[in-house]
Amino acid sequence: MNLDKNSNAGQDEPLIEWDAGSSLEGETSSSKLFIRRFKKHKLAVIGIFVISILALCALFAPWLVPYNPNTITDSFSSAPSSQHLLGTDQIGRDQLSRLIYAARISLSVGIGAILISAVIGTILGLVSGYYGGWIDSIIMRVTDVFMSFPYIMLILVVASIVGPGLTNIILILGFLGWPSVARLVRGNVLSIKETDYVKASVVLGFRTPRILFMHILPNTIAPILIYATSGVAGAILDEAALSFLGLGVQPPTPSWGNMLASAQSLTVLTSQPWLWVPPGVMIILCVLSINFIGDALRDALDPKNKK
Amino acid sequence: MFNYVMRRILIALPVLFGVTIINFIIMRMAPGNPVDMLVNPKLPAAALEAKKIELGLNAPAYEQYWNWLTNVFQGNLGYSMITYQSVGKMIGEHMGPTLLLMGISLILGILIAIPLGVLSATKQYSKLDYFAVTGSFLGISIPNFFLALGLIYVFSLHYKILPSGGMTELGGSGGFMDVLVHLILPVIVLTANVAGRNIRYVRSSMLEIMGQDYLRTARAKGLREFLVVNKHAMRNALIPIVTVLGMEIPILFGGAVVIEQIFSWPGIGQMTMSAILSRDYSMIMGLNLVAACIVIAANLITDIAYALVDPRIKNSYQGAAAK
Amino acid sequence: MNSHNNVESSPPLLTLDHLKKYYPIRKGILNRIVDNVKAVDGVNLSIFPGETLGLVGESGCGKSTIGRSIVGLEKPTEGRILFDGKDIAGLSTGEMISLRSQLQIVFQDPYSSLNPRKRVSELLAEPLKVHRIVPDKDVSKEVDRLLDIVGLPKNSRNRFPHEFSGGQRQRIGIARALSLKPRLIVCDEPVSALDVSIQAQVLNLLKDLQKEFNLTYLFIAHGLGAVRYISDRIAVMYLGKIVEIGTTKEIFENPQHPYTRALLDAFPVTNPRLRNRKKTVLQGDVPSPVNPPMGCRFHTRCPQARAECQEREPELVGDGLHSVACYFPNE
Repeated sequence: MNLDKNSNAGQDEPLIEWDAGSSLEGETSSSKLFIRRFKKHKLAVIGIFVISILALCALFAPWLVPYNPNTITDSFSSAPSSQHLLGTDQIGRDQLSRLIYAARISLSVGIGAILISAVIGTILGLVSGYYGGWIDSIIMRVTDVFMSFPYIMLILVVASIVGPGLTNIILILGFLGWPSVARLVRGNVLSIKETDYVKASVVLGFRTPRILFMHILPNTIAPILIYATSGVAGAILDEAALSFLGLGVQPPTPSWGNMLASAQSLTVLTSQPWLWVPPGVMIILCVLSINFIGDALRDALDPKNKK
Repeated sequence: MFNYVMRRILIALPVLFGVTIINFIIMRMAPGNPVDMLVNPKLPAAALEAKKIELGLNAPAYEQYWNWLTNVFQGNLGYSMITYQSVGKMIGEHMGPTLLLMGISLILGILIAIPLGVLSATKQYSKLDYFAVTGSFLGISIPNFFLALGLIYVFSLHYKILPSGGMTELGGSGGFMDVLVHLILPVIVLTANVAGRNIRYVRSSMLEIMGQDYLRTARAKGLREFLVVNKHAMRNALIPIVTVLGMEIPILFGGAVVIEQIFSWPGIGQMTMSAILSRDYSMIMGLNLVAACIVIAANLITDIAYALVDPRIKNSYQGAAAK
Repeated sequence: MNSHNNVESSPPLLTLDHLKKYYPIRKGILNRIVDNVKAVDGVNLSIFPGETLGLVGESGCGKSTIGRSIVGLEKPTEGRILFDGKDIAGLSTGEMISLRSQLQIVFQDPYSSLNPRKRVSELLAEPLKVHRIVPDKDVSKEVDRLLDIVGLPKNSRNRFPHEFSGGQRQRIGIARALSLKPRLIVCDEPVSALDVSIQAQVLNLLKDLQKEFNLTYLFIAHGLGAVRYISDRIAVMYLGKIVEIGTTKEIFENPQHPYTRALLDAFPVTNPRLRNRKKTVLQGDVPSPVNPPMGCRFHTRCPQARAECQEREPELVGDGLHSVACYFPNE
């Protein structure tokens, strides 16, 4: 057999409608499929819309707010009016302005905390799953230890020791939230490391960090992303609870959680609903939207889904 | 089976050990000294000093840890820095109301989640399915303290039909009905959480099973749908749900802290909160340790229960024992 | 191609010396090792430069384990793997990396052997860059050359693996193995996942590449069809041992071991005049590799087993052309 003949052998199998011009087709078609699946989830599309608006509000808060959120106006605890669309709080700050600024806090806590725990969890999960053996045992036992403490209780304890505040909250939630990411990534790595393409990378003489980060990690991004989305929602809820209990973001910095804390007073709860209903509704809207997006991501990224 | 249980316990021991270490490290970070916390502050000054030296206040950290650990194992969780009472005793006194609250909420939540999840999977895309799934999303997205405030606003302040807090009426009978009435609102909040988290879990577990070949076989051989769902699908779908129970316990503890605080429920959640607010570290750490131990125990029981209901695990270990 | 008469003329490229690979079975509370799965249980084998050695046997007989041990994916329990006279069995991963380029593997399943998230150009360029096979500026040219060698059009370079058929994917896998200019390629059932019509194309490609680049193949397969077409010599494995080894001609025309004959009889005969001869049909199942039978491992299923077969294990005896491990060969 001569080589010229061989070099044509590939064309024995028809190469379906190929031309060099559409070289990106593979990527676009899979992202098209992703978008089509995602769009099927109507609530998630609404969720994207809501979160986009919230994110824009958070970004452009200084230009959007009618009043400075910390400026004390002359009307105390006044009901919603044309001057103050959502009324003012007990010391006379504009409630709407505070609500908009609080979106900044909630979104940055959610995203910041998850970024930290996703990075820690992913690295530990990759190492644990890939190396196995005693490294795996140690990392997984440490994970078990962290998961044995009731999460909120542990956060409260650490917050009470290191002190409250925005940065501390992000760090606490981030550094205590990694165990579930680590477990998730480890599980995925366990199955991916048995695939032939990882074995092939070993045979090709690639060093372990390259195999871990360039070959295994890209194939675990989907589950991490799905987890991170619901994790953002969880972190926003945790921040709200913490601030509500007085151990989170500290006044005068507005956060939906600490705005709700005022409702612990009976007067506010009974006769000034504009002070506690709006921040609660904002938390629900925000968390619900993110959870819907997470659900749609799960549907759209699930390889078993053939819709 | 015996082998399996023993192995699970052997895995749980290092975790328990790790929990004590983390607990000790956090205590060292806190103001005050962990060994210090073990001594009853009501002792006269000289005795106090002697006791502290005996406990190795000036000893290196590992020795302090060891002293603290042996004390903990003898049941001495230390003394409250505020009330001077024994931490262990106080936790014991407040554990009952918390377990009552958590237990009822857990059972009710699961009792709602299982039928709703199963129905919503068998009638996928029906109105009921949308209702259940939306409800489940609301359950996980509404902050529990906000739901609690809303319930108090509606039922206690507006309609005045339910008490807004406490476990019994001041000067009330303290009887069964009294407690029951006080339980309603906090239980609703925690139940909504538990059900919300689990409806979708049951549903997707059920959906996955419903697509399996052996269920198609069951249908193909003419089995009625009722039997297919109840006999073949549900059994297999509910096995993984056993593990959820283990995961719910720590989340419920966290929920209890917030909810007990709002409803002034006299359990360890409220105790945690007041300990944190008054910086009563010996109390906080005692509570944390006890809660972690309960979680470890719950996980152990879950794993054993899982092995009992899943014949695959049971058999693989019986096979090993026979060999 | 290389015929059997020059097989012994040069020193072997690769020698397996009493190679053993046991997988421990852990049981009980403390995870003690209670037993071993004896996947490969003392294999001696030599592969000479430029030849194709076929390795056949039923699934689970240990043939893939041998292949994976050679390329370093499995650490042998015992024995030596001599490559160019150097023992590579005990090498650490770091030491192994420099040898990697010389020993490559083509996997069975073309669907799982290519990273789904990388384009063909990345798949082929990565090994070139990591091992600095060509200067960075020539990497792209080299990728085109590799694609051309395995018969894929240049415009495949920007595509993802899922856009290719099984046969095309296998060509990519072969190009990837070739990128490091190896001397020995382990072909682990490279065609058994492909359609029959595609199998011949891939086998032809492998043959042509061997001639052009003076490659040595260890060709693993569970049936004799593809092996007969491509191999110079064939080794037959049963339960972790080699029971017969010889030139392709010898194995097919003069099979000595009853197991080899059974494998040949399971292979459809094209010559109608030969169809009526007596066939050896195997009874029973393959025994567990945890507790292989005493004596000859095949005696539980052998149609001509005698008392002696149950007592001592027969050694592999014969010359360079043909060896067999049986007390009563060709009866």
